[in-house]
Amino acid sequence: MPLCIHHHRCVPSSANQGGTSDGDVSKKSELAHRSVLHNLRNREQLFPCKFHHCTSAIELDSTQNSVHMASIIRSKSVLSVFFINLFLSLVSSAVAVSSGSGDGFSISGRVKLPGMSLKAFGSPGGKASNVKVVLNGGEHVTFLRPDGYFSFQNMSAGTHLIEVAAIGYFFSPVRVDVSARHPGKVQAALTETRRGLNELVLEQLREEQYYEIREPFSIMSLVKSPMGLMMGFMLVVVFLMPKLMENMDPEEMRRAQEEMRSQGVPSLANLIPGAGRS
Amino acid sequence: MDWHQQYIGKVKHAVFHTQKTGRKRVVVSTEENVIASLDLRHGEIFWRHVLGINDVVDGIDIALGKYVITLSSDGSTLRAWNLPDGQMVWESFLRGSKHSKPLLLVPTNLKVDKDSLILVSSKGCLHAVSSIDGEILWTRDFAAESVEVQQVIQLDESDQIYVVGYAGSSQFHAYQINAMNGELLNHETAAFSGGFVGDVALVSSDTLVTLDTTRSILVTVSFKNRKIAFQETHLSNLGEDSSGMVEILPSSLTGMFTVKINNYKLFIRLTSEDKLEVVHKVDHETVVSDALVFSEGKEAFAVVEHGGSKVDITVKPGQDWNNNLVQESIEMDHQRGLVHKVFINNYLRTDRSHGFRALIVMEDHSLLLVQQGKIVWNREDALASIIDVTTSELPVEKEGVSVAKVEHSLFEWLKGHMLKLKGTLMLASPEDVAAIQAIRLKSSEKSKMTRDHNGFRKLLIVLTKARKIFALHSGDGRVVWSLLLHKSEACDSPTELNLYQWQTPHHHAMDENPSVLVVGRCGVSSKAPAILSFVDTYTGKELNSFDLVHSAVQVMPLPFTDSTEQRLHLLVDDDRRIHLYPKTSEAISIFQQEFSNIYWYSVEADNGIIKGHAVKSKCAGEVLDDFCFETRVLWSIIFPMESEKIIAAVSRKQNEVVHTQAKVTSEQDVMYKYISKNLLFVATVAPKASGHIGSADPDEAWLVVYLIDTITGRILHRMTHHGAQGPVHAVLSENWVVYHYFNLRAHRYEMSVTEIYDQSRAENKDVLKLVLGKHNLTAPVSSYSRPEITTKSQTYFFTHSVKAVAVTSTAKGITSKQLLIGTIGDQVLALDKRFLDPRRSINPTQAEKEEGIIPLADSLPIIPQSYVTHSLKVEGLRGILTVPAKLESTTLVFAYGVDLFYTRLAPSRTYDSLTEDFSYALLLLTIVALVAAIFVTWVLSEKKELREKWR
Repeated sequence: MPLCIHHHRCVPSSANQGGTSDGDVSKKSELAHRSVLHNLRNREQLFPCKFHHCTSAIELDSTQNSVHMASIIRSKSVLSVFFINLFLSLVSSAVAVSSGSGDGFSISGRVKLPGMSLKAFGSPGGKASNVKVVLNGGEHVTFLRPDGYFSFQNMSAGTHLIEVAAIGYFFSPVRVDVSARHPGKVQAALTETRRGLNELVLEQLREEQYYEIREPFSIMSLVKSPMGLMMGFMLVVVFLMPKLMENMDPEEMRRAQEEMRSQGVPSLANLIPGAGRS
Repeated sequence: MDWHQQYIGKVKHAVFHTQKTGRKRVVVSTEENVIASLDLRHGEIFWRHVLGINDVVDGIDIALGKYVITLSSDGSTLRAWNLPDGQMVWESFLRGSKHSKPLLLVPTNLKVDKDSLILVSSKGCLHAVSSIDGEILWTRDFAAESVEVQQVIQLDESDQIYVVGYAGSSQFHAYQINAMNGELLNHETAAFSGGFVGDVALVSSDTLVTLDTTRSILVTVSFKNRKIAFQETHLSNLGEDSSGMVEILPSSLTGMFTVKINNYKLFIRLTSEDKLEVVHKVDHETVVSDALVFSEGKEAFAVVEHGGSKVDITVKPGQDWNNNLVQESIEMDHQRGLVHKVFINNYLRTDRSHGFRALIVMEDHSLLLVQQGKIVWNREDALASIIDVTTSELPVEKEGVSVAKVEHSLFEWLKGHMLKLKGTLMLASPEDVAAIQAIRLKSSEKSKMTRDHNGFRKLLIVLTKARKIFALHSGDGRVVWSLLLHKSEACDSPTELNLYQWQTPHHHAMDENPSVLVVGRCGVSSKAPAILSFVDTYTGKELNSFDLVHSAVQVMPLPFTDSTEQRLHLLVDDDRRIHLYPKTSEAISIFQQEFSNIYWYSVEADNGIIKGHAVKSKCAGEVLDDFCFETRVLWSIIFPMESEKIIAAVSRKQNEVVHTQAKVTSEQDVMYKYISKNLLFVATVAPKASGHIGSADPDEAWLVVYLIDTITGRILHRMTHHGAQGPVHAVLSENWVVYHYFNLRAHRYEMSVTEIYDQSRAENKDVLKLVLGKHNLTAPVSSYSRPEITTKSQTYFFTHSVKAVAVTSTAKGITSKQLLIGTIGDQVLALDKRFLDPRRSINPTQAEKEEGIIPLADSLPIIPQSYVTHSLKVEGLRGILTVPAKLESTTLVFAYGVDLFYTRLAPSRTYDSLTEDFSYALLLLTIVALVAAIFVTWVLSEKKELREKWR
């Protein structure tokens, strides 16, 4: 179990209990929060991570996770096609130490934006400054640190909804269950895809293009337009028709012309003023 | 075509950052919970963050010269933002058990290596936070000793701090603490029999002044040399009458403080013998800034006084009242009201002397930067707090006038054309280009000050929290006029509520200017007397204003107008009497004719009651009032308090137009829409689930929706959604209602649609009956009748939380509708009503597909291209207004919050006009080509015929 020196700073105890390894804990000391991970395998084969209320987050290599993480597979009656893999991930605090206030649980997580990882820590102009994380439809709003981490404090046990508002990206809201019976147990799942999250790392489902791409100017678009078609037809009539007529057998043509005259269909020549004089 | 404006709101705190040679900026926090960094040269926004609704900013400062530190949420959240780009660097949560005054102190010289300390006193604790990573270094709990901290004082040039506070109301505590490690060095306490009340004013690092509980004695508390000494000074001894409301204003002047008594302010100085003496007496409109330390510990502060249309700014050095460093007088627009706050900053002039600039916050929430007696820039930040919006038509273009106005002199006209010529020949200098742009803008079609044929140009009349009304031109969003509402002597703190269209002249009153009615009240409670103001929308002048004796709980515009096109309005007071306006005999005669046809409803959300009312008789008071009427309750619907709580009530827009009453389905069947203006949609939830999401279990949450006829009180439709909870956002239009709520079982938001059809007219499709005359088509439609209705509903998932919902409205109601959804990301999404059609099915038949029915899916699609705001955000979105243009295909959309956004929408594309990118050149080219082709073919055929003849 972690030990608290100050009530805001957590340090892991000497050895891991519960027999599972921590995986690859990337401990970034330059980060504001000290990342500490501690997995315990409890009876329900879920992996609670215990923290004392300090801003903490875990980064796990996800491939390693899947090796030693068991999953609960429930089939939903409504859509049995979907299986909900509820992995357990992160966070939460036990009520302990400190000033005896009624502080509840905390949820910490991370938002991954494409291109953000390329940027160095603290680099200016990062997109993260325009991202908001909203809890329960506006009850709390928080912002991202340069590395994409966020946290909500003083949360009650129950089911919460986290939404990420970022221009240019579509994020699914995340359902987060904070258990009161097992303090420190948090489950998260994307509500759009019903996919469980084994750690609270939110990624965009897709990028959003707000503008329709204007078709570049091309000859084809001119030709395809109604006026282009009209002009094209005109050109065909003017230049190709005489050619076709020439290729025809003169006798056949005469016959055809006579036929037309006998039917009284006015020829093109008759329509043009002055041409009818002949 | 569309415009977007960014605002910040009324500034509460301001910190200048001008030391470095880089860009000079001022960081501000506002009453709209905005933190922003502004360019000190032009007043533009460098960056800005809008915090959550409950995240009220308590204090801001700059640490390490590169981080903006903000304390918010009643002192529980401390954040650091990168000064150049506004990226949040760290965030710390401070805990504590008890409420106490949140204080933020960033000492300048408490440095450990490269770190520096931030001291925060909140919730009964004092925290020392590292400014590099927000780590809490130490915490001291004062709440355990039941001490309420009043001030945290840094002893000059040392790492010791004083924390002073009260325990109870009479015990004074002074703690001396080592700021580096939180070690308690000394603790002194002393009791003062008189007790303390109100704020404290710090006069020096070891002396403060406060008031005793009788508010007539000034108590000077000195805590130097580990001793606490009290000294009492009667206000009457200072020659002041202390009978009124006495208040110490928080200030940071050295050796001086300000006391507010009734409506004047006293500057009191602490002399070297620890005596108090009055330095100056000013009226209450005078504002004083905080002390500013400049060059070698010299102090200065600014005093701003009003004198007629001018504002006098005086900068005085530290303790010397009679000396002035700077005295400036600036002309101030009358519409800006009084000065509310002033912040000062110094700069070095070229001759190495000190100059001062002042940032002034006015009564109308505007922000001005004053330097060298001139207003350098100003921001109209009242527009961040819009309460209500209405529109007004522009004046009709009078013939002959516009030409003379635009080209008022031949010289100007020639100059303009020369410029344009230069521009086209690429000879123009940058100034010329700017001049061309200005001319283009002035004469451009969209920003003209006259009515246009398509009805695109309008005035948006907005009412703001600052009691200021603005008229924005819909073409480019500029402020046409603004008006600060007149404040009468009778009312100290008026609040404005709503805007109504009072007079919209057309037909026979064309010469009158249109006007709007502004309803406000004097005070906050709903029983406070109402205030009415009438404002001309062309000139922006207040025509009239009344302080009423009765309150206005509800305002109802009636569908009747008098001969000057003034709309009749009914005001319901808290005694359920109604008052008719305008108070003319003509109005009363119109009203008397319709006496028995007037019904209205009231929703008492706290008691869970909806009532229907009608007019009974004239008021029988002592004072005969012809315009006052008693009312009676016709019906009431009482919801059981233990199981249902009203959270939303929505009715149809009164001015909505419905084009067709019937809907022809693909099976050649006719469905008659139930269209009634008297429909009310009500949503109730289980009281347990009325909190935020996550506070209730699905099993104990339910949402019940009702459709109620407000004339008869009949419940037309009732539906229960189990496991659902609010907040509910709904929109009612034509014969349908769409509402948005949260489904706890699926843990997703849902949107439901309910359509209502009139069953009693469904039989009319029988031809035989029509022939025999047995149909009821000619039967009058009455609001009293009880038609048979059927409803159809369908529900879909919706991804986002919603802040506001509106529906597009067009001139004739022919164009198909779109829902405008303000999402949690402060964007506005346009969603076709076709997606919310209860007749959608998984496999629509071929006929249904032809009718335009979309195959059913479980969730509503979010197509990025259908965001009407595109990649812009309307920060702090609160409302969406749609107004029809004259062109049937087009509707005007105005979304407001902290930002403003305006656009034109065509839900079914612009089928009645050519699009803006229509290529006229191509059209001309085609015509020319066709004509040329005709001649060419003619010549060719002539030649050919000639050749044939020769043959």
